[in-house]
Amino acid sequence: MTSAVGIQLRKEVRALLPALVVVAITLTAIAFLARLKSGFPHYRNDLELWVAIVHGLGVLSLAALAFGHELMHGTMASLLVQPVARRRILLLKMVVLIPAAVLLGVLADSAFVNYYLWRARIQSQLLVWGPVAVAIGLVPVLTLLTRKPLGGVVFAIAIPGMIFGVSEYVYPLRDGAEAWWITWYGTLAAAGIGLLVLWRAFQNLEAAGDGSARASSRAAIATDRREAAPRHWIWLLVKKELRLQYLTMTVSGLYVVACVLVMAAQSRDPEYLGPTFYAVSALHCGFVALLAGAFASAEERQLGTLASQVLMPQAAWRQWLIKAGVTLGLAVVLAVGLPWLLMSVHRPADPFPIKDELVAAILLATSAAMYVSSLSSNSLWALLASFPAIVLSLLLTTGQLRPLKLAIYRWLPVDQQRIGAIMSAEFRTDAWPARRAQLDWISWWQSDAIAWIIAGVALLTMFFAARNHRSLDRSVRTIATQVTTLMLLFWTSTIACLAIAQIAYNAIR
Amino acid sequence: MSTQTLAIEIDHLVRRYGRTDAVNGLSLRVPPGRCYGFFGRNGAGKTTTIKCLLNLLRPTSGSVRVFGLDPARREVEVKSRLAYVPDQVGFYPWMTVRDTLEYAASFRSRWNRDTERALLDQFRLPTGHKTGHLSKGQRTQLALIAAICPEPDLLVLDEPTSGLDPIVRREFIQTVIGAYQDAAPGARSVFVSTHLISEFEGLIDDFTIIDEGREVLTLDADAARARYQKIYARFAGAPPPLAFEGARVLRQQGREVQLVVNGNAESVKARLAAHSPEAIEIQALSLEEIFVTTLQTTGAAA
Repeated sequence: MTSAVGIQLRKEVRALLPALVVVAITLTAIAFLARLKSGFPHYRNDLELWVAIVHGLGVLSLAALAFGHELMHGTMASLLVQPVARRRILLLKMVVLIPAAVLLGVLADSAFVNYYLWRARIQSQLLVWGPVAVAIGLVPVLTLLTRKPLGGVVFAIAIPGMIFGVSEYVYPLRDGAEAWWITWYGTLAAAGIGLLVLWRAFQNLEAAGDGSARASSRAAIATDRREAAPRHWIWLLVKKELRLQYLTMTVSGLYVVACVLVMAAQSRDPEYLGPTFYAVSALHCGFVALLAGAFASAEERQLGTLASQVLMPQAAWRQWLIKAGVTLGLAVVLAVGLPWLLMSVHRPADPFPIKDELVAAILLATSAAMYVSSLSSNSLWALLASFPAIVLSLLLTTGQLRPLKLAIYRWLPVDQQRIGAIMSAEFRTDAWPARRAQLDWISWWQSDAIAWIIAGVALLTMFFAARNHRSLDRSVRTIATQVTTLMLLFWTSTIACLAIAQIAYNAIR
Repeated sequence: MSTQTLAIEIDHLVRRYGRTDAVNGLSLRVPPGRCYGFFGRNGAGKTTTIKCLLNLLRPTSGSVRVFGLDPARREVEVKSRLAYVPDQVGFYPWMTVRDTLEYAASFRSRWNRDTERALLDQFRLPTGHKTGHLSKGQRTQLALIAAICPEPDLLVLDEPTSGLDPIVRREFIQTVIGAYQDAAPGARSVFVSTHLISEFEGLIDDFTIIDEGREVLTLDADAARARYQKIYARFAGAPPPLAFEGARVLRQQGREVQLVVNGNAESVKARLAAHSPEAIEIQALSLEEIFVTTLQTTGAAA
């Protein structure tokens, strides 16, 4: 009997292990970096934001996987017909999930070195242990109810968000920490209720499978009976791509509800600037950008429609262009357009700033998530893997730009005094415009060219994503080759640009 | 006990999905020790019925009993006595064949290692391979092994042979299912839903045909073969116009006519003989032909 339980426990552990390892390693890496950069003047508070995002999303995804892997692999029915009580199956899952979630909480706690961004005890408590409570109490039941692991994550995030929105409406933040405390206890209460509902829901869980298919086939027949107007395939493809993103749009819908609450609080107190709107918008922006990318390929693969879609008699590259266009466009519209629209309606005089950098960051994040999605068998994994992939790529690329620049400056030193002397001599002379153009050209190689290199790397990433999307070959070797190519492109191009700038400086006569 | 406990007892089962009736007032009884065929077209409600039987779906109304027990209230007792092979077989992709069988065995109080070994050899399944790397047919084979080895009293099979090649399919149906029932005659029941009716022809004792969630025909297989027959008649010239009550012209080509009769073969034969055919012959319908005839008749009536 003990060995039987051992085998069953081992299976539950194995189901969570990859996600647990990915999140734990990412948290540990960030914690290590945070400790390296913990002292003045090197302290980087952006690391804390990364910890919050990786921990929050990681622990929620882990909980979604605890039940969601049965849905993803089609094993739920087989599991439920095994001759053991359902409560035992549920307990086994929780026995594995709870320590795993707590472990991530402990790791996240150690990764927040200074709590620079969230100084109040209640904020840190909510940030570290709030996701753990939600993961244990809310994600499992929401995963089972929505029958989608990502659905569990999305709606689980929404519940404490709503509690915060309501409590913040009652106790605006500037008055004190009441809103945070209400959110904390509200989340705990919601998690407790969630556990009770889970207990009940699991006893009565239905493994329909064919029901939705049946219903949809009836709906399809009903649709067929109507007079079918011929539609262009591009329009139908766009519609299909938008339909794939329904959860992304659901997230945005929840965001709109949250914003309306925040704005209601602002209307009540006109002096209240509402940093919460920007905080919620920032979270929504990042989450939607990644979610849209994560759904692009993996959702089709999960639904089993990818092969038939790719084999449609239209060039695969055209299909991919439409997919990429819809995904990137939707990400920008939802992440930037929606906050802009809300602010334009709420405060026309103080619109949401649409900056090029923000749009570029969204496009880059969505492209990265699309690449991860092209390698993933389901969208939850795509979303989960996108965060570490982006953190790692940032650390290995733009994060190393400063040391790289310093190394190149040492390798190809420039006599600044000589350049300064030439500039002083030529300033306000006829030679100055030509000299100015020369300096601008060098400056372009030093900074703007790197932005173009990043855009090029992003384009190549999308090219690889397109290849992965239509191919069945998703081997480690393929991934390693693609990642190495991307890194080589970035580093060689960047080194070349910086070196050209240095050489050009030295060539100034 | 005056009556034997039925393996399956379904009474006026209704299961709705929204406004759609997947199963609509179905009743059937499966005595123990029988191989029971459950036939119907795609979307007829077979899988939904099976899932209600396994407590994977809750009936909207009506009742379901397995070995006299309510699967929702006495779930462990019911599940201990049955095994299920779904139409869509799912496994944990990280597990090997061996791990999968160990995992399935861990839930069971009984597991026949000899049967497991024999079936693994018979199907030539590589025990070290990950289930994620198995072909569709191999996955089905693995699911069948996991269902047979605990030696359940009731084997519920939903399209069990989909994906199997003809040799393995025949081997499975005749050797595995046959041997499974023969090992405990009169005690082990099989409830099988399949479209490959002809493959199960020799094994089926009783069957029910359903359409749009309703029972259309329930019969003992032998009684069905005795009742549903086809009559071939060949005439010297063009056949005369034939319209007999209880008979349906299945095919008319040149001088030949083929009719299907339902329980009145001799009287139809006698009336055909009055037209002085050159030859006349009566044959029993196969279960597949009965299935097609029944549903075509139902469709035509509708």
